[in-house]
Amino acid sequence: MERIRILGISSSPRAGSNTTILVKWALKGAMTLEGIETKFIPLRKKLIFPCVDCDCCNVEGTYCVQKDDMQEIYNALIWADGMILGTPIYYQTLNAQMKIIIERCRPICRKSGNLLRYKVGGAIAVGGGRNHGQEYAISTIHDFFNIVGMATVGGVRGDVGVAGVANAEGVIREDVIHSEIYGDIKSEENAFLLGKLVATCTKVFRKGSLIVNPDDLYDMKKALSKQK
Amino acid sequence: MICIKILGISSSLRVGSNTSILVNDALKGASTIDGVVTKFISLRGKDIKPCVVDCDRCPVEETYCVQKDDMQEIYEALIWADGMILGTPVYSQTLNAQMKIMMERCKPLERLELLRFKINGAIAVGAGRNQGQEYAIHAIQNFFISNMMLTVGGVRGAVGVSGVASQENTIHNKDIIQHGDFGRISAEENAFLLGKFVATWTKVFKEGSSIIDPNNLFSGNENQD
Repeated sequence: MERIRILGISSSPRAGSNTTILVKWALKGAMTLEGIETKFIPLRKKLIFPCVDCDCCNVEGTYCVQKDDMQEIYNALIWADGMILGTPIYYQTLNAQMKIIIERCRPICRKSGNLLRYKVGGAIAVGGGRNHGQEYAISTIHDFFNIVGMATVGGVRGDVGVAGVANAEGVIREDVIHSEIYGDIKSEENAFLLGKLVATCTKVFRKGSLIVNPDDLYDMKKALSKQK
Repeated sequence: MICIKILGISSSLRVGSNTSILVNDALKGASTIDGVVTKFISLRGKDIKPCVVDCDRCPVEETYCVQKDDMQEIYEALIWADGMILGTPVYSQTLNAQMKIMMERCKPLERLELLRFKINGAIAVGAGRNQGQEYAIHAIQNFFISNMMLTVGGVRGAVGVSGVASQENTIHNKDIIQHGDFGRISAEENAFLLGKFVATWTKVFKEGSSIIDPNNLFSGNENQD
């Protein structure tokens, strides 16, 4: 049986970061389903340059003309069926490391060979406090998923993604709120459930695409000609 | 043969509105996929009252909400649909109140978990280029995601479909831009493609659900141990 592959990326540059903890919790959640294979990539100590908009994308072998640690990320993103991206909050939104990853994805999601289409994604953001912009970061990551033709999931206990609150010691232990419907909510639990949700949707989608090939149904070239 | 049900809702209050045109274009796109049936609902002329949050009595039997108005028809359509496309005109840089009222009244369905695992797309039409179409699309997509639905978009690099209206009630002519990768882009074509994309995702997801039920795999109340 084909295994469903779930990728977790944490863009925190800190050792033992809260974001990494939550992304790993999400992968643990994904692993509770049968036939799931996970991979975790931290962006810590990775050398990844920003996109320079040289417009030479689709270079053979390396995708991008810049030869850096992004090659590993490209391969992982293409390998995955579903993904969970986690970012710490810097200045009310996602950090530059995550944004660079998103921007460098251009060669693998252009119209001539979109390698990210029909995957499933979920987002995690961890800030220093409660209103530090977790929603903006999550929205930006969701936009990335939607733009490249992936499906976005979320909605664990009514949230769009998982928003964590960090403390200085590198553990998310103070992040418990009480909800009338769900009781005590911990961000680790939410991350665990998000991972499970992403894995579930990926699994269902992969099963469906065994019967229906999405590329047959949605062909950009044929799509518009049918209109007339 | 699986029957795929796609619902389009336009929250515009105008006759022959641009939003309705685009939502209908999206439904036309969805109809090109085999096995798709579509339904279009306009919020024009509907009597839908805002949610009275303090009452907290939902879900009520049969009518879902204690307020008996035209929302009952919308509830049934939302439950009926496998995939949906919501279109809103842009008022004051974001979605209009009619669409927001409709979303807020969906609380009983959220509590009954009736909207889970549906596939969605968003459309926003403003009077100009930077009138807040993205904010409206975000608001609609966040509604979907927080109800545990799947959001799709990505037609020619946009999160949803943003239209620019003209006074003559037609999106024609004025809303065409030249794109580096895709050439001439018109909002109607984008809406058509979005509808097709939503229908495709819905079809594939529904095929998968017939083999493994996502509700069996995922339950939010499960203990992590």
